[in-house]
Amino acid sequence: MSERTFADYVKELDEFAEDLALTSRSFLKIGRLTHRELQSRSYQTAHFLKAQGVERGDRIMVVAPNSPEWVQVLLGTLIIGAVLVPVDAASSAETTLRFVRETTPKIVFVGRNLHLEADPLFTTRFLDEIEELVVDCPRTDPAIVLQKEWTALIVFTSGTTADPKGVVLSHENVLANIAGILARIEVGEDWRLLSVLPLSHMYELSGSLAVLSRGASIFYMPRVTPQAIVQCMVDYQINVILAIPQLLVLMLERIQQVAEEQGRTRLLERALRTADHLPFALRRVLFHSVHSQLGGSLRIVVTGGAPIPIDVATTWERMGVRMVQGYGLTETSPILTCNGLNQRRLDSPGWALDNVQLRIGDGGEIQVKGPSVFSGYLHNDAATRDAFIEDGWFRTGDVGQLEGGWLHIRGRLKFVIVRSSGLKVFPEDVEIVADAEPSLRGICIVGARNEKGESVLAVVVADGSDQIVTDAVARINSQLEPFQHIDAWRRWPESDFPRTRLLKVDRRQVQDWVNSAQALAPAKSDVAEAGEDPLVHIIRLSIDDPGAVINDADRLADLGLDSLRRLTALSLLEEQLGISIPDDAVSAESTVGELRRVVNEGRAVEEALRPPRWPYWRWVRFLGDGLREVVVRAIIRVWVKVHVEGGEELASLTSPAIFIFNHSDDFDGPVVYHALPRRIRRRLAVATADDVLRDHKMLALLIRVCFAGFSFARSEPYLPSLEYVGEMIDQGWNVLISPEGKIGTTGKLQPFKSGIGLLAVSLGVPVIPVKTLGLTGTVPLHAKWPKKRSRVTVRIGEPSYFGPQMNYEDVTDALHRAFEDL
Amino acid sequence: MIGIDVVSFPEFQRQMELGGARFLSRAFGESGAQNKDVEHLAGLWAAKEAVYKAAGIPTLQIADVVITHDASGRSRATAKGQRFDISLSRTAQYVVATAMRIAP
Repeated sequence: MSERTFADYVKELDEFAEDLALTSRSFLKIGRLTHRELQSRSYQTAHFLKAQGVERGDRIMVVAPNSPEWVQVLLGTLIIGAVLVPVDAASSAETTLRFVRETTPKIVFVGRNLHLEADPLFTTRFLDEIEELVVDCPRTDPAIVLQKEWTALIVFTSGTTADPKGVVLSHENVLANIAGILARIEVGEDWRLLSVLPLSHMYELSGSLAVLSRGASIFYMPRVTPQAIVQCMVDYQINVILAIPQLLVLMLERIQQVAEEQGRTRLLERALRTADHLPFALRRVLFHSVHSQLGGSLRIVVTGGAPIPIDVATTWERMGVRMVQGYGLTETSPILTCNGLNQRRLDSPGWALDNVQLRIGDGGEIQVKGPSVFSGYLHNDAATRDAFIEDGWFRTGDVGQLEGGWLHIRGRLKFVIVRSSGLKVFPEDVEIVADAEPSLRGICIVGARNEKGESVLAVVVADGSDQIVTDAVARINSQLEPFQHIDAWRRWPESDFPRTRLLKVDRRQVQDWVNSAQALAPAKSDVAEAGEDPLVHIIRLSIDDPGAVINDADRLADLGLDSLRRLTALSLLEEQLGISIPDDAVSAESTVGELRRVVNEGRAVEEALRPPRWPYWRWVRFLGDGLREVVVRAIIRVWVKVHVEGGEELASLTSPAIFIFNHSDDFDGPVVYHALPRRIRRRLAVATADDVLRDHKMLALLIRVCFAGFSFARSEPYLPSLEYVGEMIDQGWNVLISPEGKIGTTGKLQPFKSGIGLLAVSLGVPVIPVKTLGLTGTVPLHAKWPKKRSRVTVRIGEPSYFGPQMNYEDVTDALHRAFEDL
Repeated sequence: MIGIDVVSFPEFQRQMELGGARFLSRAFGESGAQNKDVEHLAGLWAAKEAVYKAAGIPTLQIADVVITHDASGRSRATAKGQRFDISLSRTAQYVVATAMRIAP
């Protein structure tokens, strides 16, 4: 390892000088910093801290949400040889004071929401004032010579197993880990990363510093809510997130919910089944509508902090997002193992970083060694001694296995349940099975002590009755080895488990509760707070009156919603409900009911863009079939004499099919329609260019009624149209479509659009070519009436089937060739 | 026509914090809120409201009102082709804006 310190790190920010480094959009600071600005701000901060008398080894604490200022203070502190102590902004004042006592910082930078009692021992500053504090400081490198062994950070462990301990990390520790991460994952300058985890956690801190050193850009949110995450992903075209599994589960639930609201659940499920066989780029096309909800750019999710359920990881991968899992601990700065972008497994957090030595020691414990491993805990020699064994190997406390270098984590050594038989049960093994059980909202497996050994106790969070939970436990047990079976279960007394900073269930607290007498009390059934109407909630918030009585007939002005508060209310509605409301949608004269209508319309917009369902009503079909068979057929016969060849195989078709035809004439749709057997015709819907249906109302009515037509996009975005074809097929309709996309004027077959290949492989239905010969010129493009009489041959080809493993572009070509040969 | 608007700083700050970035972009446009000073923005808001009242155009949107400064530092505004003179007065708690439509 080199002699690098953070002085070098900050100097090297020059490499991407003018590229955007950090962006934040909190209400008071709309800030953008380029890499060079971050560098000069860091230098200014360093000079400021020096001027405040901060010396090498002095501690600077930051207790604030993530922001560009946070990073600025971090780097400014490190390059004068001082030590940064990051503390989660969500920590209680009590916890914060405890950390203050342990680290005796000279200055504590706080967010606006934290109020620390004045204390003669340290100075408190608001972090968001740092820009003004340093404004007169020089922007030059303070050029202080640092040693790589110097302490850079003291980070408190989030502690699922014990009280927080201060982990002392050196410049070398952190920089070695950053180098290891970058050797494993090729970070691009084009990475646009959304920050969702606190910088007080090493995972976020090292990850952020790693991507910044490669010229990437990081975006901070004013507050981290699912809505805000989605909004920021759209606004900033985010392509990478460092996430914890819970976030991915939440986002997936949201996607499934949207699909359900749109009646596309089956389509989504089928697409997910198909996607495995598609190349990555195509998965993104197939899940276009999902991706557009997320801004359309998300390519990579790096997860850590907890194991990710394999079905969640698989689903994301199928939607075309690379899931890169890693594993590490605060003590190891933090990453130990990680997957590569192109070499990755979903059932493993990867293999050891190049500068990490990893072995499986006694009891299956994962032990590591390397430049990123810390030197010891703050003021806790006993814990430090416990943590290391001979030759400097650090005991992670996790149990795992290596399989050809790939790590598999079984669980925390401390929570292994040892049965009287001596067999060991890992809570994680049981939980991963139980997580798939929909009737349980949460489960935590702990050992319950008895005279002989331990039994497996499930602590659950569930809405259902005791019987439902008992049944669920039986289902879980049926999927486990007999020795792993859950012996008993109890309800957790609150609506969710206590969680750590990374939202992992705090197993220690659950274990403590089980060990205490509380658990012996009869189970309480907790009643969830009745869901408050979000509209009423937001109005109450805006007028600062939580108890306000609000009726739909009330005028907004009478409730105290003046123009300013109305603006706030609309902003909150947009953010929390994920809709868009125009400024002029409501005025002071509007009532709450009118606002509610606007909100509901906002939700209904997407719904309105979908093709109408009425053409498929039974009586419309009855009428349409009659009109077509009698009137339209008669008109066709006047102008065209049709000779049909082939089509014998159609009799044996058992599933709906896609019929493709060459578009040479305005008349060919109806001609092909009538050349097909009656059995097919009765359930045959025609994909019609969206602009035709939009611009010619009478024609559109005719097409919809007589030919069960639906609109099909001729330009981007195609996916909703392709999805709609899937829905029609799903409902048993045959679909007639022209893969050329527009009418050819030369009579020569034009290239096919690749959407047809995508439909063929993703729907798995037969595709049947239908070729018309001699029709060109009968009703030429834009003519209103037939120009001539024609003798037309319609050739019906054999059905082709394409499996989901095929490349859709190859399939498109194959269909084109088959059509030409027909 | 003359329009007057009064804005309380603490109330404005509360609404600003509550409404977040969307509030700011709705009120001042994506670029209009670079200066995040509460008193400055509250004054800007009051001026826009005063112009809205002076203009007497029910369909006028807050975003349509553009506040400018002339060479002498006086505040002016334009909205839908109309021009306005603006005067602001501050106390510790409040800002009062007056807008008067002037001949085009």
